[in-house]
Amino acid sequence: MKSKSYQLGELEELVLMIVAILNEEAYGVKVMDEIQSQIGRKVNISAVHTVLDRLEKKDFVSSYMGGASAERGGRRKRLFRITAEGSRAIAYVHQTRNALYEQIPKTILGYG
Amino acid sequence: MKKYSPPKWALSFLRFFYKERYVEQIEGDLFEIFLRDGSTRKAKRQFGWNTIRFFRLRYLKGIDDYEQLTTLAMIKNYLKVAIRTLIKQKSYTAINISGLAVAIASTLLISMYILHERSYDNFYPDIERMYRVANGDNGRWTPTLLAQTIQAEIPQVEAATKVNGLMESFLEAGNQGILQDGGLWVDENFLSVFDIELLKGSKEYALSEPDHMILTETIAAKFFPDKEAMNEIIEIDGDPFKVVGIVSDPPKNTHIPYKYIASNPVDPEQKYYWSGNNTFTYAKLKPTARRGDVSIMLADLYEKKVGPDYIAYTGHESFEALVKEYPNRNFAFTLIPVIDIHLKKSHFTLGTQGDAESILIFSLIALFILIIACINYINLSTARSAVRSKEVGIRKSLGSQKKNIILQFITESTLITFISVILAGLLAVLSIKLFNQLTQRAFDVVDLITPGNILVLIVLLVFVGPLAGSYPAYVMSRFNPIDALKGGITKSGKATLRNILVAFQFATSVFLITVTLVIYLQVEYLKSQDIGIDINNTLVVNNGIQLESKYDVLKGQLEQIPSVELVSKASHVPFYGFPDYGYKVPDGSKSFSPNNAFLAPGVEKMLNMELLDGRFFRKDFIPDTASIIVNEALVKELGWEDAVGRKLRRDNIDYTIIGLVKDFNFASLKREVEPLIIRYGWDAYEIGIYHQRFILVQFSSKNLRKVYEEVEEQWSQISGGYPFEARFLDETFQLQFEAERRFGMIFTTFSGMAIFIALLGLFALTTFILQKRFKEIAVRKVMGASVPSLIRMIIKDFTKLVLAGSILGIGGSFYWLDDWLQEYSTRIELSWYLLTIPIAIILIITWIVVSTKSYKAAVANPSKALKDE
Repeated sequence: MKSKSYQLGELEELVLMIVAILNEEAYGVKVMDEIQSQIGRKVNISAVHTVLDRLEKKDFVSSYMGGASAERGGRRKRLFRITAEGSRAIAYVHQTRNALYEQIPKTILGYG
Repeated sequence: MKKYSPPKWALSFLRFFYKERYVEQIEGDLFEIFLRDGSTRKAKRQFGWNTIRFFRLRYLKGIDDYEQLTTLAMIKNYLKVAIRTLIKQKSYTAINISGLAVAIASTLLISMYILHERSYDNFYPDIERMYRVANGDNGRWTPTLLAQTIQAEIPQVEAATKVNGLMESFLEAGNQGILQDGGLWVDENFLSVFDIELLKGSKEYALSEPDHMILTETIAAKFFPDKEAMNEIIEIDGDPFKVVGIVSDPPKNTHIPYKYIASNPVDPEQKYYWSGNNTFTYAKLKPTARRGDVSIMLADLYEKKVGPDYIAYTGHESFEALVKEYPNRNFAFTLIPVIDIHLKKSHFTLGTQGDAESILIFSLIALFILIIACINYINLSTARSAVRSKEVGIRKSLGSQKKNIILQFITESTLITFISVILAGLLAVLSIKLFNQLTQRAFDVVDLITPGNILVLIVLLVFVGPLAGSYPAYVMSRFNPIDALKGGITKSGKATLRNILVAFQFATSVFLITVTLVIYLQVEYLKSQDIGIDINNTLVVNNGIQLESKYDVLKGQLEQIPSVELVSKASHVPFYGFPDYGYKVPDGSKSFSPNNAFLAPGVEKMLNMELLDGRFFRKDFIPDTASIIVNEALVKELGWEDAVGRKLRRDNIDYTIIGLVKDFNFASLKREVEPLIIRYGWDAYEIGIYHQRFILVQFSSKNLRKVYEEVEEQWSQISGGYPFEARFLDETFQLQFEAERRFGMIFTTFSGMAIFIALLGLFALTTFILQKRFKEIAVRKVMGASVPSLIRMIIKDFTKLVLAGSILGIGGSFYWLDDWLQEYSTRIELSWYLLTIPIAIILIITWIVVSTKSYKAAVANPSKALKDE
């Protein structure tokens, strides 16, 4: 079977992986924090929301409303989890990256 | 540390603009960040900033989300349904929109035209104080001394100027020489009366010397493309003039479309007569002056100045006696407001004449076309209401109020109007060139954007759309839902009203066809009149005066050309305009002013004039300078039995009548032939420098172009570079019908549009009526009706409407045409067979449209129509 190709933006790829890592615990602020702590990159909360929405529209993640908490002023969280399509997308991206990486002559990487 | 709370505005901002679905999570996340940052002032600021960062299209509310605004939601729904309905009924929509668009485009163009026509000369700041001084009530020409005299003697006159033009002259600068039109010749006070701003030069200096001239920018650029025009010399017909001022081109709405202005002051050396009228006079009154006072003083001035000269010439013993003899003539100078010249006193204009009547006609046509298009809309919608009755029924049973249904239909009509307006704008822009040809104006696309037109569009959008939709809306909203759902609604609006509207459309169409037809017939009739002379195969060369004595050389050369038969000359040529000269009967019993022309021998042969008595001029005789030839009209005017041998006196010289010619037309077929005196030669001192002198060439060749070129070649060799200007005589004759031709064209164009729109309506209406009677036709067919009888049945209804409308239309057009024809001395009779042509045209078109449509319905298989019962 010919494998399907997936188009993912750089930030989309990051967020999708983090949603997968957090597994059912992912929501806006958490994703933002995770990006900062794992990669050290500062992303605005609105950008995270936009990416999450986009991923949901592409069916890579799905969302549901979680419980309310006091530190959120009584607002509920929208929690995200990765879908099967999302997993395939990550696998695809990972695979193509790896395949490309493998083709780089070792000598170059060695001096790099 | 002080604890802050999130900014209140940010929360309201979020809730107002963002979709509810997103608000909770966004707020939650922002709160979380805010608390984690320690609720500081910085965190508060960050909260606000983040809120704004979320301002993205995906989070913003659409119209759907303002749930509380139900009217908005309803309007959106109306629009959506309206668009769907329009798309569903493509042909109906196309007919409605194209009809309205054509109508609106005509309205835009016409209203632009009317606005332009009414705006003439309104750009002068002192326009309400500016007057043209007329000789009597309607005389354009005034004595040369009038301007300076009234400025000196009437204290209420601020300034007065004498003006001549517009003239065509030969302008030469450097090595460039062209025949340039638009020359205005004025005295030094011109700029005091006409407040024209000088781009270069000073107002005081500009016209102070007799050899000064002012150029418009266009002419300056034409003669001096790459240098400054100021202080350059231009030779006008050989005399040098210095450019001392530059003005911008006059606005399009001026009655003096000058291209250059040249100095032409009163010559103090020369003796001027008050009885000679050679110039136009304009005056500006002082702000405090009353027009009535000035008029009285002008009348006094006439008696004082013109009176003595006039009676010396007519032989009356006193001015009072003269006034008494002609009670219908106004012996006075009168004031005509400059603002009235273009439309109300159009023969005073120096540009193209306006016409108050055509403005009225144009407005009426625009109104007619609009009404026809609206009628179309109303008719189609009500006729269609039967088809849409089920929709209305369902809407009503689902809880629609009458109001909702009315609004739905009004939305549809407004939408149609809206699309039509856009299309109409496009159409108007595209047809502006054609419109310019029709109206002889020079409109640009930007001229379409006038306050008037914007108002027209707003009125159309706000009133016509809703208005056209309101009647069908009202009818349909009253449907009983149960009847509507049963499909039992057969009455779709009152048929009588619809019939009246259709009849009105036909009336308008017939009116326009009749008028177009009669104008055409009248012009053809005039053209076919025997004018009494032969105007074919004659080329008239202008500017003969430029040749002076070299005329004989040219004549000799031209006669060498094989196709040239005769060459002669004349001071005036038929249809170029004849002047009138004063003569009297030697015993002083009668003085009068017949038309006067000077002809050289040969012209009578060329034009094939018919001699009734006496003889023509002879070359070999002692020159016939004291002989004259008269026409029948003159003999009739003087009440004579015979003419030959009698004498007429002018300037103390007695002229003997040697010949009597049959009346021939030399001015205009609109008027009766007027008295005419033909004098000998063209060298008489009386032929002023204003008169052209023409060379006439008669030829036998059919190749007009070759003749023209051959004559031009000879002219160029002999004239010393003076431009060649010539026209065939029959062509000039045709030119007098230019006004009628244009009028006819305008009428044809717009009546074509009106008829087009009416036909669209007829077509659509037939379709819907057939739809409604679909089953009836099927039943009739089953019962044995034949196809022709079915078609006849449908046609019968329409025929009644056409006839009713036609009678109305014919009545209206005859009423108006009778008036129009009064202008012409020879005119066609409005006879009964004229009535039948427009009616026949409309009837035949109607029958074609209706029968093709009904043929389809009649041949259809009846089982198709009946099976769904």
